[in-house]
Amino acid sequence: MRVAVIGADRPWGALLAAGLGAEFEVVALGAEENSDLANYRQVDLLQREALDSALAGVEAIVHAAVGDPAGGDEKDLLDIAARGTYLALTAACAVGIEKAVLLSDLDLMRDYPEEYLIDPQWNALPRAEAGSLAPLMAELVGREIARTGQIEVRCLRLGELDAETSADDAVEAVRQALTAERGGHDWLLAHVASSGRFA
Amino acid sequence: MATVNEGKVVLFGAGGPVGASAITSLKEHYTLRVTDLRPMTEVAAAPPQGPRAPIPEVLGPPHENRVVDITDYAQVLAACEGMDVAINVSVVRPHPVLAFQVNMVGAYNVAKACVACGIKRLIHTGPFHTSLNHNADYWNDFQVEADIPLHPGDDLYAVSKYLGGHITRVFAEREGLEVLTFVYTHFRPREILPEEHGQGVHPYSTSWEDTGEAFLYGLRAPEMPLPYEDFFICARLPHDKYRPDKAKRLLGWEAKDCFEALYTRP
Repeated sequence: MRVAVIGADRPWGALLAAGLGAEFEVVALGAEENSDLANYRQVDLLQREALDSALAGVEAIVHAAVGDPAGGDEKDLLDIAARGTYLALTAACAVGIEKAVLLSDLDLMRDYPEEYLIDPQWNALPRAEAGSLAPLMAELVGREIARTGQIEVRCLRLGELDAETSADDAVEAVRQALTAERGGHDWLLAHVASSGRFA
Repeated sequence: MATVNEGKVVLFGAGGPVGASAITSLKEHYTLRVTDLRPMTEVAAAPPQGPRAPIPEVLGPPHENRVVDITDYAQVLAACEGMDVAINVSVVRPHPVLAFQVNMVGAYNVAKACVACGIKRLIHTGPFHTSLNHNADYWNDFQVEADIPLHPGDDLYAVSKYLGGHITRVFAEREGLEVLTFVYTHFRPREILPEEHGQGVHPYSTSWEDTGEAFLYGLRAPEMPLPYEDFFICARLPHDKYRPDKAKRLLGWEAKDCFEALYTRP
């Protein structure tokens, strides 16, 4: 399967692009000019035409380009998360891709009391801050586009790399999401935690 | 208490016809800070956005007109300073970049500025797309109420406004800001022309005049049951497809214009 990892210049995207290479033909796409990854290509992730061209021949995408909440302008954080996800998924639909894996953040659930047994059936609880809202924006775009029936979107909420979600577990979760049979729902949400309260 | 019976109201995106309707209804009751990306004199001199759509009146003192780019937080914050309540009627529909900037980031800026300025009530606005060409768009449903979750699909305008609505919801639930979201589909003038009789009416329709009056009720309504509430702002039509009953129940507002001459045989 030919898989495009969008956001391969970000920590999770780079890790996944490398980790999935053993099983999939990975096309690594990122906004940065250079990368050590094989088959890396610089693409403006906020330009629909650039994405259309980059996704030609691709069978599935892994979207790992939601902004880093630790830094960046608020406007950019929200825009990259929402518009970036919108462009990636609508471009994928346009070229006939029927599978997407969308990376999100377990921080959306962090404000529930520690003693609660949180799973994906609990409503996201972001803070009224751009960095916290950004992954929710990406999820909502993914969920609503999936609802149209054009594409299956499997959303994986990850924790902090190595502290809460190990690299191996993240790669395995994405691998399973990519190879899973399409079911009755086109939006599926899962938590990927190796340790801690969400494990 | 978020109820505002008198005082200062800032309007964002007031250059459109919804803003024009709001200005008409509120100008005698509140001191308005009317803002838009373009100067209001320029807006008022331009052709209407659609046939028979209202054009905003350019108000003089004690009201104020101000150019504000809603995507610029500093400008939005300055516009909210000293205000008692905010109304956001801004919208960009087809532009692939500005739709997100105005409809989502703009909503974020307004909600954040309201909290920073101690404003207790925000009236937010957005569309209800009755047909988006997918099976979850409620097109085939009846008795649809305002509390249903919107399903914007992949429509740029619908999605970007939907995200802005969720942002205001989070601010409402987390920051003590009361947000009333007014949802619209099809507008038309109150006046029904002779040639329009018996031509039918969209099942989710609102006159421009009723649209404006709803803001007055929104400002004066008592505290809401929940910090975030959606309202269908439309006429109660015999189709029984979309029900604005919640607006009557919580705001005391109901449409005066029900367009009988449009859906009855002449």
